[in-house]
Amino acid sequence: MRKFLFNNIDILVLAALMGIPLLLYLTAGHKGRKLNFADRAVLAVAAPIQRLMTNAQESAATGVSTYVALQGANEKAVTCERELATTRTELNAATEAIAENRRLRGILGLADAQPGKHLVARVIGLNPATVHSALRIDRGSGEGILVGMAVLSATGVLGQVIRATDKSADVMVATDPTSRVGGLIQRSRVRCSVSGAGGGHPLRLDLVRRDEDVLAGDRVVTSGTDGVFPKGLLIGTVVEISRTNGGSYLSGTITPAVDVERTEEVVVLTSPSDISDPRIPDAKGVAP
Amino acid sequence: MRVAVLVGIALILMAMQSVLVKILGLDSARLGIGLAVVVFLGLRIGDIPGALGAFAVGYFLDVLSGYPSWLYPFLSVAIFAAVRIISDFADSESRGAYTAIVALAVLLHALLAGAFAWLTGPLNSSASVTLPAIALEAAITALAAFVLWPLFRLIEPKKGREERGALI
Repeated sequence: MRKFLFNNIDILVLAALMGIPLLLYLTAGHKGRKLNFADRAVLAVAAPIQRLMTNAQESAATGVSTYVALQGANEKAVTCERELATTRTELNAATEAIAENRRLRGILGLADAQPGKHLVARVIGLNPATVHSALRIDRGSGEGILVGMAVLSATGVLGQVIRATDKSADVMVATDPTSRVGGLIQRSRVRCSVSGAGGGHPLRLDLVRRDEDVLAGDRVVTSGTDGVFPKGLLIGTVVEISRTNGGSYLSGTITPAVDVERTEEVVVLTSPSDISDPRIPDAKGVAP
Repeated sequence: MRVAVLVGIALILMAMQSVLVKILGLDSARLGIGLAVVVFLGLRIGDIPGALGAFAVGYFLDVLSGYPSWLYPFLSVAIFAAVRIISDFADSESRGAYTAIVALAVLLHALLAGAFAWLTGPLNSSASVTLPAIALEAAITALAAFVLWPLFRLIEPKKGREERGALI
């Protein structure tokens, strides 16, 4: 027996390294697992690198734009040319500042509209795996962020927190294949379920009976019934409806309101005081 | 020790790639830098240290994916084993062969990950990764692997690969 083990140690180690994680995945792991000490250690190493890279990229972008703006200036230029170059640089910086200001106003406006407490966070990375859609933000449990909290962008629903460490948190976006959000067709007030399809695909419209009033172009908002998102936040717009599959339910696709790849700042609702907010306006923009 | 250094570099590269993906605006494709390290371990490092290194790289990917599930450690070791098997038929000293194997590994990894996610996912869930996205991921990862090859060779144990094709 000992000789057998000694002679086949390579294959036994390999089999163990493949078999144990496969078993863990197939039994319970595919539903996700809680972070252990080793997971937190890996994230503690990765988060500062991601933060550093994000800061470096932003600094480099600013440096390049300044350099490009000053390309026309030289020592022989007359004073007015220098002033013009300086003005262009300032204009470029001002344009950038206006864009940033507009973005932040959007985020703050959205944050102020929420009844409970909230935190504004910055996106520091997207997950490296294709199967699941998640991103990492620069705020964590040390600042009150907990698993399950709703995350919004200036244009609508982004997702919810699925992991939180002291300094960062992972957000599962609504397009993830395991994501489900309680929805409401804003025009006809028909309830529905909105699920993700992953990989850059649009959202799917689920659990709506074939005879319900749903049309392409309808806006879909949160229903407030899933216990995560307050009522009335924009999820997306219906782009296609199909009633040809013969089942009890129709099928449809929804273009998400949020562009995950271009989201830079988000709002985390840390204590939504009222999930079913009655102040949300209906299709005519009037509160019921 | 050098395997540990390679694994450490893999963690740093994977943390960097998650930001790069955001900067480059890649919508559905990702860089598989971790797999480039796993293939290098399969071609150039011995069975047990290489398998442990591949497991560690898969574990990092699992944690950094935002949805730890133990799938990626399994897939990484499986890819490592596959590379050990095919290494008998490939020139492990060649940068081109390494790049091609990385591209194949990314394709296999993405297909297996999609298949497992589909098998264990919620009812009615569809495959979330498209073939063009997988092909793009394979291409950019192969390019990254081609660039990183000299760095990996610097870290490689001086005596070279321990046992060629010893797994089977």
